[in-house]
Amino acid sequence: MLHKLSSKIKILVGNFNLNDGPYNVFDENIILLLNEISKEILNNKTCKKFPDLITFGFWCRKSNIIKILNNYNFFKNRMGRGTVLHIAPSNVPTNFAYSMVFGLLSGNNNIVRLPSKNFIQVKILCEILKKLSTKKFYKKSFNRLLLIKYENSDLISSKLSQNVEARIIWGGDITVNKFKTFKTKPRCIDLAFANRYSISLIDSNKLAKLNPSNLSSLTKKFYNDSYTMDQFGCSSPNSIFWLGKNNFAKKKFWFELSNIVNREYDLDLSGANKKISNLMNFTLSRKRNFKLNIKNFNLITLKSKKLNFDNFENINFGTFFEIDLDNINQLKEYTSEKLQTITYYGMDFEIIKKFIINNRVKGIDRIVPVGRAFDLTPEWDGVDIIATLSRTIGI
Amino acid sequence: MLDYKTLYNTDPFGLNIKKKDPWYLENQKKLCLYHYKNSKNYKLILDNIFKSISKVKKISNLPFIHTSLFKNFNLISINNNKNISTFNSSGTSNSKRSKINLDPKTSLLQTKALSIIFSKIMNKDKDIFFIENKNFFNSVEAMSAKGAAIKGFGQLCKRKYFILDRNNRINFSILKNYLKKNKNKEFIIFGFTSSIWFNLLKEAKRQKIKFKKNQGILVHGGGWKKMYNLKVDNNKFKNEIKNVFGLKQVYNYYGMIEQTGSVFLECEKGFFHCSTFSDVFIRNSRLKLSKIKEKGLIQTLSLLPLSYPGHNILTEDIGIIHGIDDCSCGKKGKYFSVLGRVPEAELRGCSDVT
Repeated sequence: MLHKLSSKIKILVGNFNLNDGPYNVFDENIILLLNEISKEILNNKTCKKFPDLITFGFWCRKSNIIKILNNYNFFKNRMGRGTVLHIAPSNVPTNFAYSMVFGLLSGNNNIVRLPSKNFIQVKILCEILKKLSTKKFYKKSFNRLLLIKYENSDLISSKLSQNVEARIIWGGDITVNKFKTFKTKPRCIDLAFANRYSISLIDSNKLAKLNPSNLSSLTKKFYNDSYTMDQFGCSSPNSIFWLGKNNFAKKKFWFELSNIVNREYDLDLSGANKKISNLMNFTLSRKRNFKLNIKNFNLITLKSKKLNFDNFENINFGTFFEIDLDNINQLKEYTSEKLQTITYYGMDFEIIKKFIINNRVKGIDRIVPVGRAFDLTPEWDGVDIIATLSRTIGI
Repeated sequence: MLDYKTLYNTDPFGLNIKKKDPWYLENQKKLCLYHYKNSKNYKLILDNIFKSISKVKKISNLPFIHTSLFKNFNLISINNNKNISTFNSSGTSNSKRSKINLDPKTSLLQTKALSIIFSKIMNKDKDIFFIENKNFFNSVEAMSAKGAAIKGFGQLCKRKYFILDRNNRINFSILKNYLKKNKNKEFIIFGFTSSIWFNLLKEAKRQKIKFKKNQGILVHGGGWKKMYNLKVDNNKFKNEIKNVFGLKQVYNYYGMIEQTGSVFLECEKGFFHCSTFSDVFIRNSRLKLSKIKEKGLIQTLSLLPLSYPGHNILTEDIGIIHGIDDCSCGKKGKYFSVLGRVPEAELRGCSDVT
């Protein structure tokens, strides 16, 4: 079926004769292949220029995959479902690679639609995969992979959707809704990653106890979480909820962050134009006053009593809401099913977990320490990706 | 309110920065306060984003609003809606158009300012040609940026000629006959830059028409995007137009629907000049002032808008200031170039943006 559309599909790795049947989960050959990919990345000079590639390189090492495997001791009699279609987001270069690895580890064959933009990271990874695919030892494993690109085409997307056992759809509401219109097999399982937002929860009294170098390293972590993708990552915090009333500590935190931003953040004229435009449009659409600090254009903070988090997806490029809480239960009114990650500092995650359960909160699918917003794990957005993409044989 | 009488009796390009700035600051402040009192939306922006106006000591520290607000909100500074006419931007590349609420008073100020800025080029002795058809003022476009320009320039000149026929084809014989009857008489052609290039010039070339040297002056404004795509710059544009139409002078101007009237006229050295009605700043990616000869986002100021808060705008254009008071053309004030529209930001993140 794909052959007919072949003129419009560009194959980067693999061929249309993809395997059909599923495999065991955590297949040993796959783990070896991933380790080989890791080596290639970490030994490649060009890769060193791309922190996201290096992160992926470390992530797919054998030792790390074994760590992941060890979390799946509950797996009994498990194998893949068949073929998974991955729709990668167009704006994040390495996301497809993680998605692909989840598909392989869960025992499936994989068709991966790569980002439409020509990211160098994608090109390098494809070159590495191509190189490894010529090695005899990995040949079988590569029969499980097909990496493709095509211009937006409902015809191709719908054909691809009809013939797979599962789909992972990244790219937010627009892409998810589009793909939901295509017919699939009745038993096809969709992992759909919609638009989400994320926040940070920090205890200012605990912050006050940090020595300067620890405060600086915590702030750097917060910087990475939020500024890496201009605050557009769904797990990047768009606000800080403060516990504790230590205003001096808060000030020190913002001051430290401001220094890091001035040193490392590089907004271009396009970004600056978008940022000021969004901020002013936001101001008028809310029709309510807030307290805004714009001393440093690259680090804007907004204080407001009432906030509706559903409509501020457009506040980015280093703009943060600040909300003071007397206790964690006050967080409830700011939560919604769209809230994805809480990055926290100065408290036990058990407290946040209890808050979610006691308040029967719909959102909040991740609680991770500040600095780990971008750690892509098999548990993402409230689903266990590897468990969902595999099937259990009841005995 | 503002002292418009003095403004209209001053040489628009005659004040040096030392003389102009204190006076301009004072008048812009008055204008800010006026809009602050009369426009709810403007007040929201100022209260939330800027420092109090009374503390401002430099023109560059006065609050500005982003041009996109005119696309998404109704910005108006008078209670009486009766005499308001609404103008729209031409809306070329972006789908949403700006909406400008114009009252008769502001409209009059704009026409006066335009006549003063163009006083050395246009006056009631000269006739003007538009690349439109006779029914233009009854068309939808009459209330667009183009309409505002045609109305404005039309009022400055003696007779208006429309050189498109009913089917919007260019009728060159109107111009030919005029030249036969009016040898050595100065006249004006006005059009949007892209329309001059893609309609007038293209059609003349297709029909292999070439005019003898005459006393014609072309005045044109508007976006260069399509021309830049074809690598047509200001020089090439001027040369080709002069060559085919035999014109003696071509003047470009930089203007926008939000600040009709106080346009920035190009001098013979090829730079846009601020007048006493206007000012310009260039801002870098931190929205701080760029140095002279450093590029950035263009911010434009005007003393004319009363019925809507369009007196201080951050545009989406990129430009560069070349100098102040020292242009070799002899005009005083800041002079600058426009380099084009700022590209759309590359959005990163998990959500696809199409």
